[in-house]
Amino acid sequence: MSDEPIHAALLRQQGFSIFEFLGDGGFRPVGEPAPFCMDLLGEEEARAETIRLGDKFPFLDNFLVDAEEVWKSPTEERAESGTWIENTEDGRELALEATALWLAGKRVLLVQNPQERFDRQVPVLQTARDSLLEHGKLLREIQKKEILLHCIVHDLSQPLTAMRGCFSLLSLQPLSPDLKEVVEIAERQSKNRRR
Amino acid sequence: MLQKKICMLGSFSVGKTSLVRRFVESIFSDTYLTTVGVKIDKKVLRVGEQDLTLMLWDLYGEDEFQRLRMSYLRGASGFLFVADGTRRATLDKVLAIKEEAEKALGPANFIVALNKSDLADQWEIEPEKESGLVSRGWSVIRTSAKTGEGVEFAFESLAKAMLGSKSPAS
Repeated sequence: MSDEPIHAALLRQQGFSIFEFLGDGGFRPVGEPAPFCMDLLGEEEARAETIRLGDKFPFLDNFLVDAEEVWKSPTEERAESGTWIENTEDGRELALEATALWLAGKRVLLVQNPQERFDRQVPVLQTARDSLLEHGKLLREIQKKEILLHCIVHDLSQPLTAMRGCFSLLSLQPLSPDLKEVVEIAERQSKNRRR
Repeated sequence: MLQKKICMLGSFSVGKTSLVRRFVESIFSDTYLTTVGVKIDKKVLRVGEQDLTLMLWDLYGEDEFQRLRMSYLRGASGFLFVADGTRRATLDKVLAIKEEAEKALGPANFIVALNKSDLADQWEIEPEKESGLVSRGWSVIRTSAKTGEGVEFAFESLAKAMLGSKSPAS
């Protein structure tokens, strides 16, 4: 039977690895290492007495500054690292998150591999950002068309005004009844277009 | 060996990950895959007589779904601000992030990369805007992760600037 503490076994089952902070960058693994730890550190290192996690993971090295703030003195507060990605030797990408806190009077670092949540989150964000890009593209397209339309209207307005002037001048001339009717229709239509 | 941290910063889908992949692995993919979280890559560069390890922090693009944590920038010696030349708004985002980063960490070496230079027919950033940035003394480099244009130059320029500087943003 394993002598691993039950809480450590439970957390490992939930995808957590527990480390006790020993100071000076050193950590002692508590209980059996989670499978992702074996993948990233190798079995021997994952089971070592002391691991310098900051040396192994530059992201954690940066996070330890925030973690050590929490570990200065016992507190209910915790520091959370956010997600970072590590590659295993066989090329898989593992999403990891760390939490620094006090547990049972000890300075503890929980490292989790929330892969299922991550794998669900990525396509959602992907879709959201694809939609934003598509939306931006459509807005730019509409803007371009509006500018083009504005230019067309501007270009056409002058010749149309000139034509209206011609119709006005024509209507002042003595015209045959047929021509007079044609000019009247043209004038009426040009006034309608202006509205 | 000397080691320096560079943070890739900018809006989503501007090509931060693609620039890192082009620089580190010399590969490019046209498919946009969003970055969630932080990914760190490493590349050794020879600058003059010195070997330098660049730690490239590829940070997720900030938008309404994910806010950038300033703590990720801690200890950075340089920033590579990336804008997408075909989306004008991404340059405004760069200016906003730069201001926020400087407020949090003080001034640091940086380069502004106007990425996707291969898409010249869709280019939206006006030359006046670009020259306006240059006239402020900023290094603005047009890059294309797709063709590789300007990519090595951008990272090397930043590396040289970092080595010349004694005060990283920390």
